[in-house]
Amino acid sequence: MRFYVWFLFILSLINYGCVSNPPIDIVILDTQLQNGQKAISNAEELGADQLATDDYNRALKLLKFAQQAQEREDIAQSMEFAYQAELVANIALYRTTQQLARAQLISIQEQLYQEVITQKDYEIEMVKIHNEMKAAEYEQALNEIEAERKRAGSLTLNLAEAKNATRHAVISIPITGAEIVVNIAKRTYPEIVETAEHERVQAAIAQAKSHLERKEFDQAEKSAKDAQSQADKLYDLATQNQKNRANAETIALIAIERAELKVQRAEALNAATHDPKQFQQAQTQLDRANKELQAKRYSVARQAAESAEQFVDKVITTSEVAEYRLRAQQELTARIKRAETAVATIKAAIDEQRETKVPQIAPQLFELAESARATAEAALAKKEYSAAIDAAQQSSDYLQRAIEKTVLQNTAQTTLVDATKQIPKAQIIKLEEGVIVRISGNLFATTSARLKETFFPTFIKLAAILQQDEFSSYIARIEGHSDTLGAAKTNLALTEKRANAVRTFLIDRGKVPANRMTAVGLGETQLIDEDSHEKNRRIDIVISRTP
Amino acid sequence: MKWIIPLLLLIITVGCNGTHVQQLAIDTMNNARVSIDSAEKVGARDDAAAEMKSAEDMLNNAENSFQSGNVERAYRHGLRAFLHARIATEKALAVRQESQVLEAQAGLELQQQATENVLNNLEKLRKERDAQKK
Repeated sequence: MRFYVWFLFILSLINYGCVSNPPIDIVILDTQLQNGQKAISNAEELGADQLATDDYNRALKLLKFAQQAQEREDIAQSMEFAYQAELVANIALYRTTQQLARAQLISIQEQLYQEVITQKDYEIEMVKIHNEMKAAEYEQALNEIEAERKRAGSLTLNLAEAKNATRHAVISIPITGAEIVVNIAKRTYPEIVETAEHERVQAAIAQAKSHLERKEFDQAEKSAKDAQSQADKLYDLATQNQKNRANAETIALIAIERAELKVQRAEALNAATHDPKQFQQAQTQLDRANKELQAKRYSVARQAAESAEQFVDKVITTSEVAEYRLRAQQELTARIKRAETAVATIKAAIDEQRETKVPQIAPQLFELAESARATAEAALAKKEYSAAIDAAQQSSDYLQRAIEKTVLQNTAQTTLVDATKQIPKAQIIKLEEGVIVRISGNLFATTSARLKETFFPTFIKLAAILQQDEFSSYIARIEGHSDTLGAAKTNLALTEKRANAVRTFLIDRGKVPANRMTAVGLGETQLIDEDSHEKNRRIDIVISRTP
Repeated sequence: MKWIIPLLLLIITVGCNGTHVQQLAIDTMNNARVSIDSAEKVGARDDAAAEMKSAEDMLNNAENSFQSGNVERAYRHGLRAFLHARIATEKALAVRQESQVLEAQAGLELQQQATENVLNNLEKLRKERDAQKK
């Protein structure tokens, strides 16, 4: 029994521990209940009973549970329900707030749409007013146009008159133009007035004027155009005629000029002498051509000029033949005379030179001159005058060259003699073509071939003369001579050595080319004085022209 | 043997009662979490910060109580957390709604101004038309 008492006691304790809550202050519970009630009141004020009915009712129910729990003194349960009531009331409050805001938003949007509609209405009315105003403007414009139209009607008559005046003026222009062109055509070619074209133009102009006066503008315009066209043609005709006339005048002038030139040539050919009849005819036709030209009959003038030219052509041909013959005869006569003169002249010249030195100094040239003279005389005899003249001229050329050669040689000989006379210790002996420079005495020691220094200047001077340009065609033969003392054979050998010694001296010291000199020893073979050994002991340098 | 029957009764009594409340607490806390997430999605973190904090504090208390074995307390706090989360959600929605109202109000004022301008222009045009008629 005691066991069950304790068991029940323990079980009750456990149950009490599980289901009972810790004690809660009643004041706090009251406060919580008030909070719940206040939250519900706030929600109700906002209209939660209408707009968040479920939550609002739930809050009321929770608050009621809380109050019932309080009555049961279940404070914890009451506290919990009161707290939940407050929270649910707040939910109802915010949900109500949402509903109100949504309603307000819808209201604002409706107002907004209303405003937009109002604005559109205003804009539609503005468009209507615009249209009304435009319509009024159009109406006003139409009224003005109508007024203008009425005013224009009154001006139409004046315009018609002005048109007529304008047309009159416009048509007058080609008529006046046609008259001007006709006047220009007349000035260009005055004879144009005599043509049918001129008459036609005048008729067309008159017709156009007539139509114009009667204000028949269409016909007047047509006639004016016709007149203008006719006038243009008339002008072309006048221009062409004028051009043709100028051409004809030019052609006639050229023909007359040609004829005159030929007449002048005929005069130069003595046509009046050779063919007087034809020449007279030509002059007559030429005079006639000039007269026709002055009378402006250009075609006739040209024909006369051409006729004169034909006559004068014949005259020129005749005169040229006659003149040629005459001139040929004159030339032949002159040639005969020239040939005879040439042959006679060359004969006299050759004869004149025959007794001079020319045949000796230039025998070949003189011989050629003689031969050519003989040829000239033979040609003259055969009446070959040109050949005679040519041969005589050739003969004269040869003779002239022979004379020149002679003169030249004489001049060189004289110069050579004068030059060699300047050589000291030398005797000069003239030759036909050249000189002998003789140096006598003791040029060498006895039996010696060594030249003494005292004779050096003699040979230096001799070398200088030989080096001169004017004597470049001369050569020197150095001859050694001895006296009769000693054996002849010895003397011969000695003179040869001495001649060579002089040649060597002239080459080495005088710079005379070796090929211009030869040396020879003649011993005692050519003595010049039987009584003087000194004179016989000598060196002879024979200077002569190159063979 | 004489302890067996009372012990079984105790275990059954306590166990059954405890299991029911425990499940209720768990469900309530889950509901509170879902509600807090929903509140956050509608912007309650900004527009209903105090309510959000209360909901989260309550949920925290509930979880702590549950951890400490006080499942009934956990249930109550879970339920409070759920209700706070709902308040936060409804408040955030209300704030958003009011904000839309304010924007609409501003748009309405602008439109009213535009309408007034058009009306002024219309009045001018009416006067011009009247002048043209004269």
